[in-house]
Amino acid sequence: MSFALPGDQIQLQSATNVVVGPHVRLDGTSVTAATAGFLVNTQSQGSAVCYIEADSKRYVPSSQDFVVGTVVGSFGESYRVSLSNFSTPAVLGFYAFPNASKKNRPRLKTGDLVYARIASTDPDLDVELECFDATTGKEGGFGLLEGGFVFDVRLAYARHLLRHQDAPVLTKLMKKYQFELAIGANGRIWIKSDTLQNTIECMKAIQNGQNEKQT
Amino acid sequence: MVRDYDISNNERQFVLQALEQNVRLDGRKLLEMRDVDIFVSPDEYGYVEISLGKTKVACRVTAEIAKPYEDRPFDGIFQISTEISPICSPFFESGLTSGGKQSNDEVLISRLIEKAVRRSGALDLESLCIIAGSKCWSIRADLHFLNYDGNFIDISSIAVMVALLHFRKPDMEIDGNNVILFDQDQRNPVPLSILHIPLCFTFQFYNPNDDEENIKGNLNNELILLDASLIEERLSLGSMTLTINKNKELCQLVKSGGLNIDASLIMNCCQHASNLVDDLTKKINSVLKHDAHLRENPLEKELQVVNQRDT
Repeated sequence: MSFALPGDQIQLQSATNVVVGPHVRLDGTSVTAATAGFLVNTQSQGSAVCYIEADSKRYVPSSQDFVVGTVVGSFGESYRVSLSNFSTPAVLGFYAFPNASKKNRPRLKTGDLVYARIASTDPDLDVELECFDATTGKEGGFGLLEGGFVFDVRLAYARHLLRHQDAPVLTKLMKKYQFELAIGANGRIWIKSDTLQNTIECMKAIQNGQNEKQT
Repeated sequence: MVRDYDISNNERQFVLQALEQNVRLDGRKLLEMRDVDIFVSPDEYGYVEISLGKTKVACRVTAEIAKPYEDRPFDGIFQISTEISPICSPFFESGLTSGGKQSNDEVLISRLIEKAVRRSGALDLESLCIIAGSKCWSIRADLHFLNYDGNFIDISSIAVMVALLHFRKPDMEIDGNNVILFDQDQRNPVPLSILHIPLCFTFQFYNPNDDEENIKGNLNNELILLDASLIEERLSLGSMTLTINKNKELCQLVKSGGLNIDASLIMNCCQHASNLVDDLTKKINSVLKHDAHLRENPLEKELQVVNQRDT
């Protein structure tokens, strides 16, 4: 992992079959960094992936991110879902649920929490969400989140936890507590444990984890 | 258009359930305050930074010589500026984007501070008079809100009072109609004359029952908590601010609308605040005393220079 500054030329590991991720700018044939952060080169599904890992405070939706959102209203045939406070809400269609039809679809109320996947992020349109697995079309853990509590963490930390489900803080918590967890790449984590006290304790543990050094 | 925080029903229910069990998200009891962290500038007079958990404000006091108001020739001038910029949270809009209109919260905070500090006579205005009708000191306290996690009112009152206590104005001499000011090197600057230290305590109210019980019932089990965090403040059904000093003088009691609260509960709040004000005043005095001590013995400061460590 190397450190990149905005404008730095990035050396790709292979010339073909490369996916450029967040904060990497592709301009014709030149590949440059668009922000300051750590350059990551990995392999995913048979192609090389190159992106820059940088912490920021405001969440910018990117396609296929898993997010925890709050329903703030509905209009036409879709719900408006807030991904972070004071940002433009995203759109979740009434039929963006598994097996949803006109007669049979989840009825969400204002203030409900949903776990969703970002389906599209066209700069000229509203961000679109979906509540089903992209490959299977099944539920896949998405949908309404009932009970529990939701709290904010740093964006880089949320991404880290999403990628490393074996992060020490989570494995250690799992030994001691029973809980359900939904991590949103928008820096929101939903947690529900058997008792209120345990939920608070888990929340504190996860929140404190973001101040530790990540490897 | 002012936008509010998007608080989900899950958070609302969870916080209220926790409060009913006398538990708060940060592990406090209902009537417990967060730790007050007071930083007074060691290099200059009249600059302080106060933190209450994640809520943080800075206050700077400045003085200049001005002409007193026509109708008050024997009084000095004291102004407090409380403009909340969106730097602390996008919830507060800047004057530029909202067309110069202040939000309700902002107006409420500045009026409460104004009443708590200025109109309770904490600063002796008559001592600021230099030459009646023509020259007086004009003292200005600028509050800067740096981060918002609830309870701006209490922290602002602490910040203004600590800054006033910490401030020193240049010493001067009157020669006929001329005023001679002395530099800090020539004569020691003089402190302001502070008559008492009023501090604000804000209580938030929640109703575990239905409205009917609140209005007619005799249960009086409304939840009352002190020093609310952001989410608690956004969810509260009403608030009350007490301004009190360590002589147990109640300078102000403001409860504008909100939940109906029985008078006996309000008396309990007053009692609780009067206990807290002693500790807080002691803490403020000890911080200022320590600062004064370091100024008198500058060597001591040099000898105990330590690297700042992340906690």
